[in-house]
Amino acid sequence: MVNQDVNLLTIRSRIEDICCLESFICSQTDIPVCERNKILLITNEIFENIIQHATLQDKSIRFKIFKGKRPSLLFLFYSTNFEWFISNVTRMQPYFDPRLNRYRGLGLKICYNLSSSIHYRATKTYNAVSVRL
Amino acid sequence: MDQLKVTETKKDRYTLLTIEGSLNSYTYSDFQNKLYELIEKTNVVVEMTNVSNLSSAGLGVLMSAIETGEEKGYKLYILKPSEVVQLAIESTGFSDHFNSVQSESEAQW
Repeated sequence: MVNQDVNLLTIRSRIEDICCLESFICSQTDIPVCERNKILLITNEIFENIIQHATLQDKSIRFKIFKGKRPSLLFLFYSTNFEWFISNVTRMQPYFDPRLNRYRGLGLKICYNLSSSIHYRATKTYNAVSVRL
Repeated sequence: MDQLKVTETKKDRYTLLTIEGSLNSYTYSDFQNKLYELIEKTNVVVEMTNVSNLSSAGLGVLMSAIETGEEKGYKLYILKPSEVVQLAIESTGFSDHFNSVQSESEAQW
């Protein structure tokens, strides 16, 4: 973990930092458990996708929770292949991956079924994935 | 957040695997190896009461193991899934693939 604020977490783009992300979300005890569970599942998938598919210029990923009646989530990072990243993460159908010896492609179904909207945005200085529950 | 703890208990007609902690991309491999090894030769019950997170990586392992079990003539049940496990399963749209039970005696072999 790099840095943590009340609603903002900065983590490295390495899979073991998923534990920091989970701890951070679980520490948001003012969010009802049912919403927190959704946030946990969605953020896991997005974080894993960034790690697996994005070529990051800066090796840190910022994650922010906007609390409210319907919480929203924001991932900020900078990758050199954002369009390719989007084309990979939007693959909707599950498929068996012989290399990993397991099914893949369930993550996006989880994200879409647990959220009301997901937006991807690229600027010259950052990429963003925002999710509204 | 805890890492994943996997405990194996042999029963008459099945093996009970109790998992505790977060089942995600970082933690799933030991569970995957154990589950795949077992489902090749016996029925399996996976207790998930104390699972704090279940990512698509973990779900993908469970789905693959269920398929292997069907091929080999064995069954896989999920025992007492936690709220987040239940939510993860339902949100995939593939709930029908997963047999969930609330007690070991509900499993039909």
